Amino acid sequence: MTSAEGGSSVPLFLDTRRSGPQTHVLAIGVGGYRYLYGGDRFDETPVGDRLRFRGLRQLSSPPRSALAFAAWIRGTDPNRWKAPLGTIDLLVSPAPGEPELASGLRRASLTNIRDAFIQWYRRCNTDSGNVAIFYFCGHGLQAGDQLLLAEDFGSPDDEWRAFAFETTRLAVERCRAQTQCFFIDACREVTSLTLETPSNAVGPLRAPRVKDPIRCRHHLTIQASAYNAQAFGAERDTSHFTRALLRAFNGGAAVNTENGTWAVDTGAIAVRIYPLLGMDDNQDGEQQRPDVVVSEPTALLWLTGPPNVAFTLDCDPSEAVAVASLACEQMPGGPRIVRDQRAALPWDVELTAGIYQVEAGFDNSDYQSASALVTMEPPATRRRLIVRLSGAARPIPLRTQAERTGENHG
Amino acid sequence: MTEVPEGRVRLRLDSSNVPDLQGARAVVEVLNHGLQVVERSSLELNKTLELALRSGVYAVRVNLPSGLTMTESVLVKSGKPAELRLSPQRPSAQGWFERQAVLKPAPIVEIGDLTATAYESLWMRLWARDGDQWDVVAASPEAGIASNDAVRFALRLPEAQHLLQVGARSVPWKFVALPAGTAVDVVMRPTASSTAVGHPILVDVTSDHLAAESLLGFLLVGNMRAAREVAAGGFEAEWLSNGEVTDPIPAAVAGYCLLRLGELDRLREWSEDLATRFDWMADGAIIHAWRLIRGGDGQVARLDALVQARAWLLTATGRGLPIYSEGLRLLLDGLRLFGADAEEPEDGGDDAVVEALARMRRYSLAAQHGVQTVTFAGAHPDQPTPEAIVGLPEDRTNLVLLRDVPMTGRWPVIGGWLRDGVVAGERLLAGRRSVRVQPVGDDALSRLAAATAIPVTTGVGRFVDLEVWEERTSGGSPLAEVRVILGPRRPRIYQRHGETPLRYGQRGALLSRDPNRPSELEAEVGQDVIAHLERNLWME
Repeated sequence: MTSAEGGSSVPLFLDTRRSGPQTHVLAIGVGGYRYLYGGDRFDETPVGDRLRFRGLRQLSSPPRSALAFAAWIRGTDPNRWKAPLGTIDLLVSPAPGEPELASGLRRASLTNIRDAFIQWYRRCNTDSGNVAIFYFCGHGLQAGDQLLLAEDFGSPDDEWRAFAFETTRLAVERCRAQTQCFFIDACREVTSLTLETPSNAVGPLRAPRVKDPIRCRHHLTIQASAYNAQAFGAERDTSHFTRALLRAFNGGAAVNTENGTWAVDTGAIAVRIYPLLGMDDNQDGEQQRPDVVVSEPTALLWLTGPPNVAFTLDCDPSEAVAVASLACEQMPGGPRIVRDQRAALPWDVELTAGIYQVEAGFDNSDYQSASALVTMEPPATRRRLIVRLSGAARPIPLRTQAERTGENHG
Repeated sequence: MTEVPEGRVRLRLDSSNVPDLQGARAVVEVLNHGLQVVERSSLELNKTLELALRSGVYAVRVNLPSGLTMTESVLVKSGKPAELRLSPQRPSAQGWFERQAVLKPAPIVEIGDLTATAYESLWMRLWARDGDQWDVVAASPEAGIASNDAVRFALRLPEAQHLLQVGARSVPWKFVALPAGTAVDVVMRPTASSTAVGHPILVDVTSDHLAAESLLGFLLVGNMRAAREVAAGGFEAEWLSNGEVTDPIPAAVAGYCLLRLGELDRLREWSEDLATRFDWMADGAIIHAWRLIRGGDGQVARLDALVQARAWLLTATGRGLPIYSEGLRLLLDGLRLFGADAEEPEDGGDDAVVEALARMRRYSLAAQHGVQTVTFAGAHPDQPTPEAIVGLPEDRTNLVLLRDVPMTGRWPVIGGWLRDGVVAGERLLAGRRSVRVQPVGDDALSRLAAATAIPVTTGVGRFVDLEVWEERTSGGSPLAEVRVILGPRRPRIYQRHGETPLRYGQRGALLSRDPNRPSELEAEVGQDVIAHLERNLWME
């Protein structure tokens, strides 16, 4: 598995190239910034630049995030992709003191990124049926474009070792691959550093040529953080955005398509990425609203069946859930799933997507049994079943219509 | 083969405030038991949609432009139709927030309290573009409503580029582009002080064309299937007649949507008309430029089309700013395209494009993204800056104050007796206010102040002159009385009689005290004004 284009003898993370349309992935994770504070060449950074770049530190999350993204894709069945999986190129720069996450990976210097990008572009440019996926996790700054920083950013030779994302994306739109996805997991803060950056200091990885036709028909760009905001990642863990993205690919952004096959699709990723971020345990994730630009939706990854849905069933009043027998039965005539034992907490259960009859039964209790039809849609569904007191001695709490029907607030 | 009996579903999306959502669209998807979409249709709020379906169990998903979805499951049988009535209102939303709940993405931050110190002297002013000039113009907010967590009002704007500028004592000034030629509904909400994300004031702007606003909502949240549904279904007939655009605002929104969807054929008929005839807005020029750039799918764009596209992008830049954020994004992308080409030495450079790109990048740097209309920080429309400018503008011509200011404890410098219990105005956007000065001392001056209650007619939140009668004593004898007027221009200081302006930095002239003259206070000002007074009047 070596790069066949020349220019680099380092093997790709995955290389199953063959003729015909394929999916080609380029993933970059930069955590180690050699010339920034904590970097192995920080001593070479001029004092003035140390001050200018003082807000930028070493990161532990991006290499893990890029690896998690690339490894997840590599672990899928290649033929489940809209265009079968062809290549994954992965460039990773761990921070000093961080473990090498995988062997034989190129570091994410600007030269290596540019080289990998050119090769990736060429692979994507071979067939209009190709799917191009570009992923970056690392430091970002907002100037005229979002600037994505390579590991040698701040180098005394050329301090702006970075590339301009939006202009790069405009160039890729000219590539033959009609389906193109860009996932950018980086901050977009406007700082004094970016304000003083000359507009031509940072160029794209490839300049777009206006005379070239735009060939991209299905386009999805998600910038993890809104403009002038930060993207977050827990230390030594996959970032919130990347986790949300993987949840999306794992079925969280699945739809049942016109041909009756479930698929993860660009339109559903666009709409659900924000709620998927909200599912993260870390509260930071909830204050991170990605910027999404999407065109005509298309399937990316076919699933073998309906995805799982995290379902939470509660009763209203909530005290009733402790004495309720809870069950779900898929409609029509599907399997019946029953809560093993009664508990005071709401019932969390994984169900396949579909429509279910949900029941709360009560034996010798103050409550009357209740049931409802509930649609289990990915990524998660919650429902509070309103139960009445036996004999209707007390009124049930008032609930608004929106609460009763709001199962999936996307 | 057995005939499958047909049933019906009758769906209605009710709003509590029907006129407020007239014309707003949701998109309804009916899913079979396998959650496959079997029906997708645009539904106008407060109207009923009836669908014929085979008997069975279905999910009905209602997509709102705000990104909110509501799903209800239903059993369809032959005979009586299954009835579904849903309400789009968020459980916590007040009735007059319903429009936001339907059309605008829910804020990701907690809503705060306008009575918080940071929002004191919350103000706005309206800018209009005339030729190449931006000027502050009179704003006449109508139908103002306010509570502690929001201010809402309407503006009627003629066809010209308009920007609303807002700021407050601790709120950075920002501009929000307004769709003109229509009644514009503006809702401002504060964010909680604990929130470190985004600007402290959320400004939602809605034109009176709610079908277009629905489309815009779907575009922003990335629900392109719903956007396509709204863009079809007779929408064009509302603003297009015989190939001529009759209403440029919905046309611009439709143009952005069709560009996203790649439906260039539908643009071909009218994008040039939108660009040419509505030359007060930049959006039409941007849409037409991109239609020319994209040409047709996979086809090499004709060179003359590219030449025209470049010219239209420069025209758009010359017209000021697009109304919609999608327009700013496309304008930047278009200029980047031509700019990148221009940077190639063989092409010899393109100064006009490079200059336009540099100009629009300044807006981009100061812009708030992820919002529907162009929003950016700055003091003047021609000077966007990401740096925070706070306080009250020095030039207060046509300034509209949206928030009364409790003045407790804010006047230690002037007089020394205005300390506690002074409240300027009691309601937001009220037309008439009273000010009562409550003294803390027992001296004659304080008693005099206590006797004064001045009703002031201000109009709807309009900034009025502040007059402070200040008396100073020397060795127990009153010596001076100075009236300070904070008018629509700079603060001026007048002598008690004769009203000859004193120089800034000069203490009040010594005049005889007139004990019969009441102390007066007419004010809606915040700490910034006080600071200004301190700087200009009493700092020697």
